[in-house]
Amino acid sequence: MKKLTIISAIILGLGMTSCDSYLDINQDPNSPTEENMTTSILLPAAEMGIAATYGNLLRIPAGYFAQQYSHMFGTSNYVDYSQFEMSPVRSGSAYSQINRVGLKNLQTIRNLAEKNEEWGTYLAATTLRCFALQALVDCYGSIPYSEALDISNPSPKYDEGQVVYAGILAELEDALSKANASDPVATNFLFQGEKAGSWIKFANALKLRIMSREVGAVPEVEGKIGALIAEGNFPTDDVAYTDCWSNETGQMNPYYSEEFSTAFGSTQINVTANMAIVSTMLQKNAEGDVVYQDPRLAAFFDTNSNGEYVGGVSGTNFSTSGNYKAAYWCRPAMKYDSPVYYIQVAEVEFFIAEYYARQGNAAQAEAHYNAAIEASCESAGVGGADEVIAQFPYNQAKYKEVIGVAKWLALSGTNNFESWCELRRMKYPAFSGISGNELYNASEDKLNTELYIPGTLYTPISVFDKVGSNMVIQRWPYPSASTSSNSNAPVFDDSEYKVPPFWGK
Amino acid sequence: MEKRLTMFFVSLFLCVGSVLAQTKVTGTVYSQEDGQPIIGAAVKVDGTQTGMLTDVNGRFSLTLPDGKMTLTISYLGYESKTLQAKNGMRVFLKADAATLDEVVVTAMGISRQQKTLGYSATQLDSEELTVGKMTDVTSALAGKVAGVQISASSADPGTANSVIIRGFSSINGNNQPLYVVDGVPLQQTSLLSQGHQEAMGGVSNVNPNDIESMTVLKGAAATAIYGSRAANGVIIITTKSGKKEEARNFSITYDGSVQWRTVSTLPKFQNQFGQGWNGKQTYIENGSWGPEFDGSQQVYGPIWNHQQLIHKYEAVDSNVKDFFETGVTTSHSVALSGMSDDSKMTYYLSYGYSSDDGIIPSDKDSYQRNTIAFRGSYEATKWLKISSSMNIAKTKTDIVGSYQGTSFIDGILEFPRDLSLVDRKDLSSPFNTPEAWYTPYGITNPYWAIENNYNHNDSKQVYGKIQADIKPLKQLTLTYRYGFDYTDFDLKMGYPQITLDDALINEDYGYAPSNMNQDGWVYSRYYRKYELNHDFMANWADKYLDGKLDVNVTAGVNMNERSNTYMTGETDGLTFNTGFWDLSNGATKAELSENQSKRRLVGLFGDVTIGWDDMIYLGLTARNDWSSTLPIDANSYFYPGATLSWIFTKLIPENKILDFGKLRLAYGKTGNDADPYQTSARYEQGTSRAYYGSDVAKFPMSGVNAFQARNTIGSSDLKPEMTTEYEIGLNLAFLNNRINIDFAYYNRETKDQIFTLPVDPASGYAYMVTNFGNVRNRGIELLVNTTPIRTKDFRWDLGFNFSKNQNKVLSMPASVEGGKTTIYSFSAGNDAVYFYAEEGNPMGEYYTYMPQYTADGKLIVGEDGQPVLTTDLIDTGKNMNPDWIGGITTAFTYKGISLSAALDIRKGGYMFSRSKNLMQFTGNGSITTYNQRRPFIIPNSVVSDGNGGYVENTTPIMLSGGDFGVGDYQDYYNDYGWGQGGEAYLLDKSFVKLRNITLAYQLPRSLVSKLYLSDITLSLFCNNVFTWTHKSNTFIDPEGSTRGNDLEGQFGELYVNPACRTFGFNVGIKF
Repeated sequence: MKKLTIISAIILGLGMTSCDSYLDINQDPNSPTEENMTTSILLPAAEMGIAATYGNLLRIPAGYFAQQYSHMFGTSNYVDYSQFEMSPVRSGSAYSQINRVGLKNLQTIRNLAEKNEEWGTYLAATTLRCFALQALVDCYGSIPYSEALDISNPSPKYDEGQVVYAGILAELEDALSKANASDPVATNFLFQGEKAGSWIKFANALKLRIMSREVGAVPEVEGKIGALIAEGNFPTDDVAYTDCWSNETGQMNPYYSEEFSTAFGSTQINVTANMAIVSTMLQKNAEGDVVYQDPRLAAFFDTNSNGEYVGGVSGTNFSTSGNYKAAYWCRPAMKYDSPVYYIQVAEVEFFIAEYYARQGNAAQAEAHYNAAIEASCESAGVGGADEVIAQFPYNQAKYKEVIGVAKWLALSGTNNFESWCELRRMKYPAFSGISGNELYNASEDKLNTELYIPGTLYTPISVFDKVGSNMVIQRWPYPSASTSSNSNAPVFDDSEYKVPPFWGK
Repeated sequence: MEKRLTMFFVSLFLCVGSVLAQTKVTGTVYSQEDGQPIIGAAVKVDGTQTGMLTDVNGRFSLTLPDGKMTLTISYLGYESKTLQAKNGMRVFLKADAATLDEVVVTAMGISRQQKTLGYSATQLDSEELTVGKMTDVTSALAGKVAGVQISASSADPGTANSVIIRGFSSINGNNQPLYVVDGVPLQQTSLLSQGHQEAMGGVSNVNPNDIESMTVLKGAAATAIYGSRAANGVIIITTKSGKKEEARNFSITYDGSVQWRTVSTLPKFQNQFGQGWNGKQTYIENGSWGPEFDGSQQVYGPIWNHQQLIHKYEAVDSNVKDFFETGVTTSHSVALSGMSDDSKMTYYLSYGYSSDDGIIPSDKDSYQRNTIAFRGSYEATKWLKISSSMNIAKTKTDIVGSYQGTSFIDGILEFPRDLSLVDRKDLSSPFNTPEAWYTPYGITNPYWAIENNYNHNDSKQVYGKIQADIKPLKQLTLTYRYGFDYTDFDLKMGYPQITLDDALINEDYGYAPSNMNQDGWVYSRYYRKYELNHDFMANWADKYLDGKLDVNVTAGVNMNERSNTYMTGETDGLTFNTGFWDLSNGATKAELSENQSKRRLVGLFGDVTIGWDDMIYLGLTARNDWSSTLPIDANSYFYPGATLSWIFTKLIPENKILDFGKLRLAYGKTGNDADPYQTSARYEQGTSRAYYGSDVAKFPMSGVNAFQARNTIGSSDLKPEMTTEYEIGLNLAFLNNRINIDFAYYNRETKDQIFTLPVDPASGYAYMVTNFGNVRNRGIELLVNTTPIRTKDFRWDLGFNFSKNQNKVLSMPASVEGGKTTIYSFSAGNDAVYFYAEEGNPMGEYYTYMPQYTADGKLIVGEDGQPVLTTDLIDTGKNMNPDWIGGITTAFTYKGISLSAALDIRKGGYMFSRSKNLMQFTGNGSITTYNQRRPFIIPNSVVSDGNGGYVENTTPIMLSGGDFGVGDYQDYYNDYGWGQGGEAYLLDKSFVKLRNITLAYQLPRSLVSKLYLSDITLSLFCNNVFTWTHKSNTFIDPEGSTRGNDLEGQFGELYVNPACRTFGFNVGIKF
C-alpha cells in the first residue's frame, strides 16, 4: 500500500505542476497570429474577394439579365439566368464571398489603419468597402449593414437600401476628409505603387455613381452631384484590375478562368452573345446587308466558326436544335488578362451627361455623352467613335433612352453588372413587346432575327413566372446562406422579384 | 470460447501432476442436458496441485496422491461438482446460467464476471466474428448486437464501415465508437476520398483471426472511465494470446479462404426508349429521352475521320450489369502460439494476408492487407509480469472515384439504354476514348475512365503496448501501460489531361468532343499520425466478511497525446496526359500546403465496485480530464457514473423455470472536448472562388502574398460537451438456460454540443464554433438467445435482437437558422435538399422545395401545367433515423456440421440519392415511362383562377412541351421531381438483408488426429445473400453513402458504386 501511495504521489505531483505548460499547445501552427497581421498582408486578399465576385459571380447573371448574354447550345448551367431567374441558393455565393472575404478583412484593415493612422490605406479600404456594399444593395435591395460584421451577433438585421446608401456616402466623406493625395497606401492591386490620390479619384467616381443612382429617390442629392462634378477630380483611366493576372490556375481574370480556360478540370462553356446586343451593334437592312457595325463589337465578342456575329435568344439552350449548335454561337471576347472593371471613364461621362440633361443643359449633356462614347471606344481599343455617335446621336428630349441604350452598349463587354443596374434604373433599353418565342421558333427550329428591334429588350422563352413578360428581374432573392441561419432575415416574397431597389422605383 | 478460457485458467493454476504415484482413477465427465461427454473439463484433486483436463471423449485418468480422495470437476458454464474419487466414475455436470458467469473484458482491460456488471456489455467470440470471412471485422457485427448499427458505405474493397451505437448524438463531431485493443485505444484512420470512406488504419487493420473476443460497451456508465472519446460507446478487442493446447504446449493454425463477389444491386432501368432528348433522336446525347425503340439501324456519336458508329435501335437490357466483373478475395492467416514449459512465458505470432479485388473491371478497385501480430508475456517473478504486443499492418488500396466528370459510375448511369457497354473495352479505338466517344457532355467511356483516373493509397500502421503488472500484495496490482499507434499513408490521386483538337471530327452534331477537354491533375498527400498513451493504474481486489463483501478498486492516470501531420501537393496542366502521377508532371507550379495538429489530454480516473454475497454489486466511477483543446483557463471537466446490479434470483428458491435473474441500473456522464484550435480566430492564405471553380483567385498572385480570415471563427469560451445517460436493464435465463433475455432501456442526452454552426456570412464568417443544443437518444434493446432443440447430436440455436432508438433534438437556439442547423446540404441548379438538426425533430431532417396542394389535396400547377414548387425549403417530415433495427441469427449443429445464418433488418428512415435522381434526369430509370411518355395532364391538379381560387387544370405536359407553350415532359422529371419536387431525391432506407449463410463442417476427431492435427474445419459461406428493399427503392442498396461513415454520411449518396454479394469457402487447420 505504501508503494502505491508513493507512486501515486509522484505521478500526481509531476502531473499537476507541469500540466498547464503540457496542455498549452492550442495555437494553430498553420495560421499566422492575429498580432502579426498588417494592412498590406490583408488588403490584396480582400481586394480579390470582391474582384472575383464582382468580375464573375455578379457579372455572369447580370449579363444574362441585361440580354447581353444568352445560353450556349446544349449546356444548361445558366439557362435559369437567361430566363430571368435567380434562386435563393444561387444568390448566396456572391453574398457570402463579398461579406466574408471582402468586407470582413476590410474591416480588420480599417481598424488597423485607423489605429496606426494610415489614412491612405483607410481611404482605400473604405472605398472598396463602399463599392462592395453598393453592389450588394443593387442586388438585394436590403442587406445587413449597421449590425453586420459582428460575430457576437450572428443574426444581424437587414437595413433598407436607402439607409445603406446614405451610410456609405457618409463613410466615403469621412475617409476622404482624412486622406491626403500624397498619403501612402498599403500593398494593393488596384493602384499598384500609387499614392492615395488615385484612390481619391476612385472614391469621387464611386460617389458619383452612388448619388446618380439616388436621383429620384433622394431629392437633395442633385446639388451634391453638381458640386462633385464642379470639383472634377475623377479618374482619367478606367478603374480596373489590369496588371495582376497571369496565365495560371488561380491567377487569371476570374470570369475567363471559369468560362474560358480549362483551369478547373473541364471548360465551362455557357455564355454566348445575345441577339439583342448583337443586332443592335450590327444592324442590317431588309436585304440583309450590314448598315451599321459598332466598332466595339469585335472587341467585346468573338465571331462564330463561320466568322459571323450572331446572337442567341434568352431562355433557351437550343437543346433540340439541328440548325444552331455550339459552333454557331459567338462567345464574349475574353483573355486571361482581361481587366475586371470597377468604374470606367465612360461611365463617369455618362453620369455627368445625365446630370446636365436633367438640368436642361443640352449642350453640356451632349458634349459629355459624346465624350462617354469616345472613352468607351478608347477603353475597348478601337477607333470609330464618330460612327457610334452618328448611329446613336444625343437627343435631349429622349435623354434617358439615348443614354440608357448607349450605356448598355458601352458596358456590354466590360461591366454587365453595372449595365443591369442602370437599365433597371433608367428603364432603357425598354421592352419592345416581342417575346423570345417569336425570335426563335423552336418547332420550326428557326431564328427570326429580323423581328428584333434594335436597342430593345424582349421577354425570354420560358420566362421565370415570378418575373413575367416585358420586365427584367429587378432583384435577387435573399440568399438562403443568410435566411437559413439568420432569424432576423426578412422574408422574400415572390412578388419582390418585380420590385427594384429603392433607386429604381 | 468458454472451453478455451477454462483451459487457459486451468493451465495457469494447475501444474500437471508429477507426484507420488498411489491410486489411479479413471472416469468420464458428461453434460447432464444431452449426455454428451464434456471435452476439456478440469478435474482437480482437492488439496493438491494435481489435475488434468478431460480428453475428446470426456475421459480422465488421474493418479491420486496419498490420502487424497476428493475430486472437483469444473467446466465453464456448468456448475462445479466435488465428489469422492471412484474408478470408472461417471460425472454429470449441470449447466449453469452459463453466459452470465462468463468473464467479459471491460473498461481498461479489466476482466469482470458478466453478472457483476450494472450495464449492458455484449461480447462476441472469435467464431462469430470470423464466420463470414469479412476482411473488416466490424462487418461481422452487423445484425448481431442490439443497439448497434453497422453500415458499409460502399461495397468497394477497403471501405471503412460506419458503426453507430445507440444512435447519433453528436451533431458535428464523431459518432463512431472508440476501439480499444488489449487496453490501448486505436486511432480510427479513414479518409473520405472521391466519395469513398477509405480505411487507412485503425480497426480495419486488425486481422479478424487474431481476435479472441470483442465486447461492445454501449452506455455512458460503462464507458466513463475511457474518457472523452468513449461518449459514443467502446468496442473492446481482446486478442489471442499464447496458451497450452491439449496435447502439446503450442499450436499452429492456418485459416484460408477464397471468395468471389458479384454486383448485387443496380437501378431498375427502362427498356423502351433510347438515346435522345425531348423525345427526339440526338446522336450525341447521353441518357434515354429519345424516341421509342423500333429495331431500326441507327448511327450515333460524332463522325470521326468519315466513320460513324452504327447500332440497332433496341434495348440492350443488361448493358450495365454485364459491365461488371466477378471480383476475387483471398485471405490467408497463419498463427503460432504457445506457452513455455514452466508456463511463465506465453507467445503468439501471426501473419495475415488479404487481397480483395472488387467488381469493377480491372484491379483499380482493390485492397491488400498484410498484418503481423506478436504478443508475449513473461512472469519474471511471482509479483512481476511483463507483457507486450506489437502489430504491423500494411495496406494498399485502389479506389475508383465517384462524382461527375470522367468517373466510371456517372458514365454507366447516364449510358443510353440502346448502346452496348461491353463492346467498348478496346481503348485503342478513338470511338472508345474522349476523341470520338458518343457524347461530349461531361461523361466518357467508363472503361477509359477506370483506366485513366488514379486513386491509390499505401498505408502502414504500427501499434501495440508494453505493460508491466506488479503485485506487491496479494490484493494489489499496479499496472503501467505504454500504448502507441503510429499510422502513415501516402495517398495519390490524379485525373488525366484531355487535349482534343477535333481535327478528325467531320461532324460533331453541335457539341464538339473537345468540350471534354480538361487540364489534368496530380495530387499527393503524405500523412502521418500518432497516438501515445500512458496509463498508470492501481487495482485493489479483496474479499471481506467471510468472502461475502467483494471489493474492487481501481484508480489511475491517463496521459494521451495525438498528433497529425500532412503535406499535400497538387499540380495540373499535365505534360504526360495520363499514367504519370507525379508532381513533376504539372506544367503549372506544384502547389504545396501543410497541416499539423496536436492535442493532449490528462485524465484522472477511479472505479470502485463493491459486491455483497454474489448478489448485489455497486459500481462507482469518476473521471476528471484536462484537455488542451479547451480554453486553457477552463480546460478541466469532471464526470461521474454509478451502476447497480442485483441478482434477485439469489433470493428465490431454485426452480426449474427461472435459472437466473439480474436487474441493473446505471447512470453515467461522459465529457467530450473539442477539436484542436477551435478557441481563437485563424487566418489562411488568400483565396476566392467562382461558380464552379474553387480558388479562382489564389495567393500568391503576381508576386504578392496575402492572408484572410478563415471562414470559421473559434470561441474563447468553449465548454466541453456532456453526455448523460441512464439505463435500466434486465437479464433473465429460463428453462435450463435455454432462453436468455437481455433487455435494456436507456436515455442519453448530449448537451452543449460543440458545433461549427453556419452563420449569416454578413457576420464576417461562414461558420462559428459554439456550444449549443441538446440531443436525446432513448430507446430499448432486446436480445433473446434461445436453444429450441438440444439433443445428443443436434442443436438449434435461434437468436433475436431488436432495438428502437428515438432520436430528438431537444433544444437548438432560436437565434440560429430559427432553431435548426444544417448538417449537410446538396444543391444543384435550383434544386436543394437540406439536412438539418432542428429543435423538436429527430436529427437529420430533410428539407426541400415541395409541390403545393390545395386544402382539399389537389396539386397546384402553373399555367404551363407543371407543379408549382415552393420557393422556401419545406420540412418533408422525413429523416435519416430508422424506426427500428433488428436481427435474427440462427445455427443448426449436427455433430460436426453446422449451418448458420444472420438476417439484418432495418425499418424506416430516408436518405438522399443522386443515383435515383440520375435515373429520372437521364430517362434511364423505369420510373420515367409514366403514361408511356405520351402527353398527360397531372391527375387531380388545379390551376389558379387568378382570383385566389382554383380551377381544374387542363394543360397537358408533353415531350418538347416548350415548343407548344406547355410544360415539358422531361422538365417534369428534371425540374419538378415527377411531381414530388425535391422530395424525389429521397429514398426509403428500409431493408431486410440476409447478411450471411455459412455451412461449416468440422472433420471428425478420429480422422483429424490421424493427420497429426487437432482440428480441420471447412466452410462454405455467402455474404449479402439477398437484400430486400422498400418497394419504392428500385435504385440502390440503401446502405450506400458517399459522404463518409459518420453523421454527414447519413445524408446519402452522390454516385455511389453498386453493392456486392460475395460467396466463397474457407479452410481452417489447427496443428
